[in-house]
Amino acid sequence: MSAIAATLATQEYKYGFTTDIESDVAPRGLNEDTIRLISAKKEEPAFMLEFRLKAYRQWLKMTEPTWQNVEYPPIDYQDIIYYSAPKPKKKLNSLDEVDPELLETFEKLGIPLHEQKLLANVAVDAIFDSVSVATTYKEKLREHGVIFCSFSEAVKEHPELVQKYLGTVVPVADNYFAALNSAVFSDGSFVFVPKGVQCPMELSSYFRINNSESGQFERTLIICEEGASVSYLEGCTAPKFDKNQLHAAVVELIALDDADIKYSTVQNWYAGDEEGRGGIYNFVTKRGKCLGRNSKISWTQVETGSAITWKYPSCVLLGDNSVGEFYSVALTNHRQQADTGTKMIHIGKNTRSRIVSKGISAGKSNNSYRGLVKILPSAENARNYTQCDSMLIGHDCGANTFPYIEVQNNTAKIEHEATTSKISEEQIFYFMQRGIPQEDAISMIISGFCKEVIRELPMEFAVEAQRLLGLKLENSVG
Amino acid sequence: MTAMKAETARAFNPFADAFAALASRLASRSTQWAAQAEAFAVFERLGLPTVADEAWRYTSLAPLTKQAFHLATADGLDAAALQRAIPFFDESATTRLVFVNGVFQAGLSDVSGLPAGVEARPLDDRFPRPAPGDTPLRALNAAFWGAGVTIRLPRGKAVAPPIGLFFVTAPTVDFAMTHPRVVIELDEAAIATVAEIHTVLCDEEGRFGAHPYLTNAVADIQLGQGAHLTHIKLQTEGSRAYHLADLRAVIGRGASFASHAHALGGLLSRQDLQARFTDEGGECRLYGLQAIAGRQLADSHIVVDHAVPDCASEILYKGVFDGQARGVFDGRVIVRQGAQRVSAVTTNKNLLLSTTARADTKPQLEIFADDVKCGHGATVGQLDQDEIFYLRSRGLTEAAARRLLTFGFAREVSEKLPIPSLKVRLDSALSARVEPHQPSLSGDLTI
Repeated sequence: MSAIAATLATQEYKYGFTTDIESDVAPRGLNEDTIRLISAKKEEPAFMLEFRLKAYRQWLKMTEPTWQNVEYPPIDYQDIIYYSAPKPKKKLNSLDEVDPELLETFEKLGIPLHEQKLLANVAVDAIFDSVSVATTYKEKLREHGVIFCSFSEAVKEHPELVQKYLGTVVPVADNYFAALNSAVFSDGSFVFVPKGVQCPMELSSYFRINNSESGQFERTLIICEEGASVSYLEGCTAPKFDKNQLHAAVVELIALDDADIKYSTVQNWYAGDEEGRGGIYNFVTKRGKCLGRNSKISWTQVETGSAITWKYPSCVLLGDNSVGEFYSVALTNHRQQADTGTKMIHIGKNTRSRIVSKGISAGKSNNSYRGLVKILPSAENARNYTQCDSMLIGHDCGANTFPYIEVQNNTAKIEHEATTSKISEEQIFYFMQRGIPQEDAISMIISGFCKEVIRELPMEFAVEAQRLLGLKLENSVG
Repeated sequence: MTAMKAETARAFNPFADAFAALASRLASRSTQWAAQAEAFAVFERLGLPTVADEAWRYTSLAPLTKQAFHLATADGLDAAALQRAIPFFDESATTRLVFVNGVFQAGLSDVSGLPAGVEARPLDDRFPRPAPGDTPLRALNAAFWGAGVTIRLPRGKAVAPPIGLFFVTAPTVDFAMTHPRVVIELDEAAIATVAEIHTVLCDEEGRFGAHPYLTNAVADIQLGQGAHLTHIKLQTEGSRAYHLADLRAVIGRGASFASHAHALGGLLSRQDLQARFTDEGGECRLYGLQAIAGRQLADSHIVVDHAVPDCASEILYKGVFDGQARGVFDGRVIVRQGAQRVSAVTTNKNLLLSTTARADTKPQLEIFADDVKCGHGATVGQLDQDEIFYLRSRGLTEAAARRLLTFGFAREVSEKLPIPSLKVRLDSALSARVEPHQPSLSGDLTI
């Protein structure tokens, strides 16, 4: 391996710039007043404030978990700015009135809100620091009855839906970071697809942290009524700062009878430098509830950024015949750490789940898959197939697999498989003797390794993800 | 909630009275006493593990904390009756050591078949002092030190017949306990087979002991360069017994360790098995079978630690669970940095025969070297309907078909057992176990 390994020169993180935008920030620190301030700033109804305070009071009683296979210095929760919004000059009526500097930022990120034609058929909700700045294609979506807007807008315009579903999948006291998020979340995306509607286009959110001192706590809520379907994508980037920043989001998905939700993530938060200085702590709670019969929730994630990624997008398979899927590529390089996986909780009859996880570790990074497959006594004829493959590049990295399989019904059929491999000299040699340079060879081998996951992504994202994987590993082999 | 439970579990020490009783007998007479007292202090500090401990999340020791245990005694047992009742196996007729209720039985033991230079005898004063990092159960075993065996093979010695270690409990009252300890040391190129039999003594009616009791066994194995040990453990404890066991094997250069661990008895049984390679070229194969029913629980926790390059390990564990039985498997393979060219395979397959049986499995890989071949696979399921249909189409009844398939499933592990008479015994125990709706070895009694 020594011939292939070594030179760990880094590909510059191209999204590492900051945007000089005047922002409206809450004072540092967290107490009930901060929460009241956030709620007031967002002109929220009373039930939201109650929700937040309840979560905050629960959070105070909780302790930060320590079981995860990642290491980081203690977080000072009083040293975080919990609310940071680009300062609004006035109420925005159309995209033209958005701060040009902001638009430029998003253009640099490859999300040209103006050139929507380029992004044919993708509606975008752009979230800058903690606040949604622009949502495209709203009108077209409204024609179909699809609500796609920022979370704050949803709270104002559809409070009944928010009140009905918020916190039903991830309760306020679910875990330490979910409680924190429930208390202080500032914005996020809201999607509601009514009965029988197939959402006519891909929905997409771009998340951007800009302020160096702020945390990002967004909340996403997606509801798919009977027979509806939606495909939702999220992308994330952040500027380069030496300081670690906390990103604690909560995503809740609800699928009623025959509904189908596909949630894809390409996560490229700033990962810190080669020595592990700076970078985002990505501690996210994502959970979907297959509430109805024949419903389906599918998670696809490509995790390449963040100093620490720690999340388990999960499916609670309540409805009979419901299906949960989890496809993941987690790539860690330098000193990144990832502890990610999924939970499939089978409750309904004939529920099925499929887990495909590909972990790639390079540099001095550490990559863990942790997953739970739980078959409750009520889940007759449940089926699970799990495949976890790890690839190690170089000998200073680690790859771990921690699957938990708990079966309480004998009609279940559970299979779990895991393998560990590396890119062999022979493979590289074969490519090179066919005239393919080593870099391309590696990129092709990685593509092949991740193929099962990448092909689950919507096309635009698949291309981006492939490129991202290549960039991330550039020069890490050879 | 769990934390609160943990607190109450740790408040009452079910072993304190027994230890005080031991102290009044031994404190002034034994040279060992200081070490034992130290070990007990360690146990008191750590307390029994609770479900809040990750390694015990599926197995609750709470039932142990509901009453006090006392050391078992062998007083008043009839030697002739014991001789008839203990399930000896032929191959170890002249190479066996027998303990009844934790007391060495010289009359029942026979080591005349051992070649000169090979030691196999009850533990002497060279009892290992409690080490830092000992688990609470190891410390507890050390505190009640008494029933132990040392087996030492000098360089190049080979013992062909298996050495039988019989740890028999004949419980006459409730809540007796024994703390067996086995030390096996094989010097360079030595070869041996050791069979540990943990069982309950049948009474005159041939029934298994109805008294709850505790066995807390510890085994330490040290293999020198090129040594070869086959270790068999057959656990057929009583239907109300708690069986806790912790085995650690240290595998030297080019040495080979094979373990066959079969858990059939006990209301609650737990086997911790840790294999650690200290030098290159070592090999270990760990085979296990859990075949339980009723309200039994069998838990196997394995750690294979590849700290050095060029070693190979294989784990194959199978579980057959009927009634309301619960099976737990946790197999953790660590490949440390620099441990290149390691091959490690883990397989865990579980068969649930009833709607109320349950299996929790957790095969883990922790890999920090890139030139390795590691993998694991785990399955949980029931018998295949197509296979049953096939056998029925050949004229078998449904029950017979199920029996055959279940037996065949377990057979992959049981047939690896290298001692013929034990294999026969295991097979017949398995046949009895897979007999549908028939009271089996144990488990139909509830506590």
